[in-house]
Amino acid sequence: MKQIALVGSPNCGKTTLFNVLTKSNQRTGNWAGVTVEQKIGEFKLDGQAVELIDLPGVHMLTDCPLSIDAKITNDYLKSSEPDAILLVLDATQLRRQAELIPQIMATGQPVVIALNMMDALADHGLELNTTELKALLGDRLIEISAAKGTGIAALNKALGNALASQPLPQDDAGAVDCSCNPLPHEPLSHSGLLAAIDRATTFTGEPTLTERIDRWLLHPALAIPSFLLVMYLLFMISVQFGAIFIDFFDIWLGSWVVEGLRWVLSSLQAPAWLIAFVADGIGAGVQLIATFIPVIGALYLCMSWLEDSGYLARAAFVIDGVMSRIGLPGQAFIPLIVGFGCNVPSVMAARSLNSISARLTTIFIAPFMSCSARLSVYVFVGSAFFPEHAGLAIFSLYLLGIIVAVGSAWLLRKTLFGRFHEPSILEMPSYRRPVWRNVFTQAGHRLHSFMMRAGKRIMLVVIVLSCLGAVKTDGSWGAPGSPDSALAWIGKKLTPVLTPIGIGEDNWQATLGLFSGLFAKEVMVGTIQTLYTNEDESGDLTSTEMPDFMGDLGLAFGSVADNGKALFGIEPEAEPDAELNLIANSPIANLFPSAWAAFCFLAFVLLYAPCVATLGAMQREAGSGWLRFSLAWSLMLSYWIASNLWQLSHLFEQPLFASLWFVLSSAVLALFYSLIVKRVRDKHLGEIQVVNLT
Amino acid sequence: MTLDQLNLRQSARVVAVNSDSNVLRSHCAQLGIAPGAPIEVLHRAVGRGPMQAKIQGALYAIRQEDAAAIEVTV
Repeated sequence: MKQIALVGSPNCGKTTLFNVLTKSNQRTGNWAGVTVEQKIGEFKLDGQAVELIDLPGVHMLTDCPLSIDAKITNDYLKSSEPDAILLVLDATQLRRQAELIPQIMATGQPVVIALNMMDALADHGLELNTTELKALLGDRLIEISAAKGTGIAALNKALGNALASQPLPQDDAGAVDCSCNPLPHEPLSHSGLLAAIDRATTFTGEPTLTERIDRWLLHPALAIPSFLLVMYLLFMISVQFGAIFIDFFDIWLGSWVVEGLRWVLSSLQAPAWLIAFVADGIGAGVQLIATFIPVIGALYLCMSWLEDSGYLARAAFVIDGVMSRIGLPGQAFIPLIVGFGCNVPSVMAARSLNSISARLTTIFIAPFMSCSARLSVYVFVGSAFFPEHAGLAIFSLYLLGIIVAVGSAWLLRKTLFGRFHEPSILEMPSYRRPVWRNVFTQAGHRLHSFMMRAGKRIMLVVIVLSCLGAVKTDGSWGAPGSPDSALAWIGKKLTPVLTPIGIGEDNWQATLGLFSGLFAKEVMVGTIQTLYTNEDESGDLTSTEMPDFMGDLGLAFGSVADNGKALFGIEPEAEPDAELNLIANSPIANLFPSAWAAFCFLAFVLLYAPCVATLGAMQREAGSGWLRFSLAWSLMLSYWIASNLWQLSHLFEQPLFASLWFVLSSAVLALFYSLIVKRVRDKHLGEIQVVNLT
Repeated sequence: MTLDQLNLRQSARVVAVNSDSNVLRSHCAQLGIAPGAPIEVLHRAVGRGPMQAKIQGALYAIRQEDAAAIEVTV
């Protein structure tokens, strides 16, 4: 199949054109070795199928590209030989982007130039007379508006002609042409082109639409309030609205996949280990991944909309001053605020950052944001131990997370990334009405990529933990989560290690809760409650009856309605009270030595490790080395913080031991950190491409 | 004078980019922040924040320390 490469500056409307040409005929992947999305689409030219490959945006072709994106495009144009190149230029930024014309023509391939955004010239206070440019560039110059869909037929015709022509050999690149186009009399020179563009352009002197909007949105008194409003809406719509549908997937797939598989397998007399593997491993893995769809999907939709509108760059502008103090660009704020909803999209959103050190730092600190699943644990434990001060306790935990994130970012900058000065000159694209096709395709691609890639790793961990939870220490297989499972055995062995943070020696349930918190933080509540309340029961929860498929589907749809009502405050949720009574009567209260110990436990829950979904996303975005570093750091730091908080309450009883603990644990923490950083610097930093550009 | 000293809405032209950093110099060159280019500061963010500058019709957010490396003349 013939291949056409799509080239253009960032924000020139390249993606819109890509979507217009290929419709939904697209597939995505990654460029070899980097986490930059590769998009290939297919469309028909004169009845013949051709492939369109979307190259990342570049300002110009140089030998020293400044971002992964630019490097990919440079390398591609140097090494691959597409049958034709479609160069997209923003008519409102023509003078600045004109440099690409001679550079792309010099590749020797047939070139078609799409002059995009012809409809937006007036909004930019410009008039453009293309007669002379057409004379200079020939038939290959086509005026279009990708957003409005005008000029596409002419563009297709020009592309067809370009493909039918023969490329010139490379060494003749000076006299660029192809048989279908009239040859310009003199070879195309950059200065001649610029002069022609200057003659063609008339400034009407009106302030542009974008400048007029910026007068309000970047106004010193209004910038921060409007920023906060947009962030609040982003958070509310994506997290709160998306959360309405979580229970739907949870109930529906829990019944149709997990229970359904269990029923099918047990009616087939399958062995217990197979049931544990298939139903509680694979089935529960599918269920867990699916519960992330609503929040992540809603978030990606909102983000794509904001990105397409041009506001995202303004948000980065407003918060840049604060972020620069911890060595991050302003854009890093968005992944972090998203982290309060869910850490997974937070890690995924870090890929929008161009500089690799900013990307790694953001991925490193994103898990310290208290996600909404952790909130459910805070509420559960908090209202059992300090019902009067639950609000204050939860607020302090959020604050602790932010302080740890800021501190870790600062530490990384001091020890690892300090020597890389990364200039932060960010282009602020013009405001545009978002094109819905772009928004949905973009969000769809990102969601798909999350499900396929992070999903695999989530599945693997769920299978391992489920099997450990189902196999008993005597080798037989039982119900998941029983007190004599291998997982419970590990929990009991590990509990003594956790006594310094205030977990009682017999409180193995809390340790096991930490394990199940690895699946998903909200699972902790269920696990802890089941373990404490059903301690004496035989734990034979495995039902082998056929689940009520239709009834559960009805329940699933009902949950959407209920959650929707709760969101708009029509019907306050009444359930938490019932849960609280359960805890008050359960032995949980005896197992933590004091309320302060429960707080230390919560601090540990906040920091020790993110859930498997986040770990999967981190590995995918930053690689295993960085994941190990980040995980080791959060484990050590959480232990250090929780144990010292616990020792703090003994400062007056055992001043010597408490202060000795503080000094020694801090020394160990510092030692381990410096060892790990040294290792990361020696072994892994060299593998990171963009850092080497400096 | 340098870009960070320019008043709001004051038109100027870029004279040179004076920086030890190759990255900053080539970044500027690729974005069209080159000698002779017309430049105007439109907004400043509060505190230590960046400025919004219009260069050859395009809008950029530039941090103070980077702006200090860009020499301009009114």
